[in-house]
Amino acid sequence: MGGKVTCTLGEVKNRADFIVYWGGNPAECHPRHFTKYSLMQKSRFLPRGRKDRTMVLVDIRPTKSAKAADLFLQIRPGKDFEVLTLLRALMKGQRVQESQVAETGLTLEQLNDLVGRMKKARFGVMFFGMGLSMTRGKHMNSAALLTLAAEMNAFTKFVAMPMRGHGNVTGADVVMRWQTGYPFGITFNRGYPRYNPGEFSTVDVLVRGDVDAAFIIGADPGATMPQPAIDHLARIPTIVLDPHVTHTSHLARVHITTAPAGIAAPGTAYRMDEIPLPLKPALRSPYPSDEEVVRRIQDAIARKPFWLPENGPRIPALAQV
Amino acid sequence: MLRITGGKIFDPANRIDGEVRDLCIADGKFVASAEGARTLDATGMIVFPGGVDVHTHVAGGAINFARAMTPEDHRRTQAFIRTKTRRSGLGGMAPTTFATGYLYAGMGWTTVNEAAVPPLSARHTHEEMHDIPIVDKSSCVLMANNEILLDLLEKGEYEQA
Repeated sequence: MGGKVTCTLGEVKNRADFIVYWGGNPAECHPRHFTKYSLMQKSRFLPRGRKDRTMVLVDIRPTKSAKAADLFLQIRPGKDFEVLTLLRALMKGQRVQESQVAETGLTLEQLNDLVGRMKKARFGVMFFGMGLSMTRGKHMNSAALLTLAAEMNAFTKFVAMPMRGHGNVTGADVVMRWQTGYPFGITFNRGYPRYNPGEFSTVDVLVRGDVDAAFIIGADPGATMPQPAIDHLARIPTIVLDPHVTHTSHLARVHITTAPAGIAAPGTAYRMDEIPLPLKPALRSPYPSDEEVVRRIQDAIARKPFWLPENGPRIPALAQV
Repeated sequence: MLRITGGKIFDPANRIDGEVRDLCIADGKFVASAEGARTLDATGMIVFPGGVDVHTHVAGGAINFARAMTPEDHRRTQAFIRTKTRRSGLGGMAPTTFATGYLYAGMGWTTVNEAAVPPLSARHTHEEMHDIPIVDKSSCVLMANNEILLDLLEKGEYEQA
């Protein structure tokens, strides 16, 4: 089973009486999430707000979010996939082994209690953070959680949603999908989009030294990426567009200061549930917007001779399998 | 001036139902004959007025979700390689925006109507339609399951609804 059962945050606000946060710390990383969308709101089907909802936090250590939780489940680091798989088994009434339960850091009673609570919910939602999706198991962990949410629909309504952050990352994902079919990890080196995370993702092309220039907008890989990737950014001509001077700016050949989007530049940002929000700037900036800088660079490139064949071949569809 | 020869013509407005004949165009209008015109051989093809697809789902949250869910289809489908006059893209069951324009134009369509746009994500639909080339675009707002509208109908406030 694959896919993704999801909804908008409005549905969460109005309907979700059972909320799980897994490997995320919204109290500190998404400080408005509890109050605007998930926990605190009094809403159509949950008129008493927080009192009508149950919140479970699953993480490897008690974070500030644990204070807001009705139930905190501390699991062993790197055992997310195992816990999710056990929950899927228990949900279906299958037998599990004691040793399998023991290695997760939880007891069978705790797991059965969680499954019982999930089944009793009228509308359950599972939010997952990078503590799930970026630790041992990575996308397999996300897939296990999405599958658990999908399978829960045999008992009650259940959805899942990643806790995305870092500015407008969802917007980048959404635009890349409509233009190329893929969210990230895309290469155009054959003239059309191809996708392979782990091969064409930014870290991978940098670490392998595949790229001979980097153009970075509103991100700071110099602060977050592995050292071999940062080393390559310093070797090649790197251009940074950012309202601030970042770690990446210091190793770049060119830094162009731009107006901060949403504060001094207009546009659209996509909320984590992929709802588009118009940005209305409150201030003026002496600096150009990212869009204006990119447009001017694009105009300059367009004046250069075109470098691809005039009538490139079409690649026919493969025989359907 | 242009002469299109040998095509099978369908034109319901003029009651032409699959006749093989020539079409001549001069100054943007159909004319009886066009001596010395550039000739397009349309033998074995259908000639019809620009198609209008009144009910499609080509732009917005739903199709973009479908794109995310079908990377394996993108991998085996028709790819559009970038040229001086063409953006790159992919066809298949959930084509990318640029490819959507090229595929529709290639079939003889001139207008497409995205038939279900929830007001909440209309901005997204408009941004995608901006990236669909060649064809004209329109959309219908989807209100059938809008809670605010249903509430107003329940209260009998039909005017405001």
